[in-house]
Amino acid sequence: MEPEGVVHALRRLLRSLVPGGLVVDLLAVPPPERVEVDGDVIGELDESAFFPRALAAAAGLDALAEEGVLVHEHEQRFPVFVRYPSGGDLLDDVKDREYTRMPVDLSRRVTRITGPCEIRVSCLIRRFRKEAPG
Amino acid sequence: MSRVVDPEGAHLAAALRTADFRGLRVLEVGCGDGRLTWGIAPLADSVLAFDPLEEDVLSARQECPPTLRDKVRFEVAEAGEIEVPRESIDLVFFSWSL
Repeated sequence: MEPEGVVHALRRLLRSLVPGGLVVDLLAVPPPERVEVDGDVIGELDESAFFPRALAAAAGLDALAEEGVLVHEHEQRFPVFVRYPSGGDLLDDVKDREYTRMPVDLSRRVTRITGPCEIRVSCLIRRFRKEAPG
Repeated sequence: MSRVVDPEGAHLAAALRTADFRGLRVLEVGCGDGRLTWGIAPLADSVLAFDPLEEDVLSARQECPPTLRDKVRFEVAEAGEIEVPRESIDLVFFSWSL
């Protein structure tokens, strides 16, 4: 969804929520995803096209919280890993993504990874509560 | 493709720390192939799960455990297209992004 449509979509979805109901928002946040081998960072993916879209959704919830429609109650950051048997498998996965790119110099390094490797994703989860009237 | 997404189950663990899904009517937006749905649905009263990718939704329907089929429904839709009756949901779960 385009960023400008996010708040409108959120408003529509929140009509389905009972007063006092919860919103749990789970998303990937900066820093960009990192390629790692045995905990050593090989490089970062280019997510300059991805984050504006993902963060627009978060900003939409923030806007509704500022309006008093939602109350922000909780948030937590945590890492998530995607594991691959080799650098080639990792490259195949990333090339299919619509908004994430593998920088050329990183691609050369990842090609040489013959064993297991992983992508570390930084995640944020937040909880909001829909304000009850009165 | 050979990959394992979140082998530690960090996403689901974070979701379960963030909210008590027990007995709730859940709307999941961005369910993908149901990876998190399977962890939430046993606790919830019901899960209505949407994703814009038809391939993922078909996979989720096929993989849905028999014990969850009465309480989980998967549909193909963008977030902006979802139609749900007013005040019929207790928790909206956005997975990953809109």
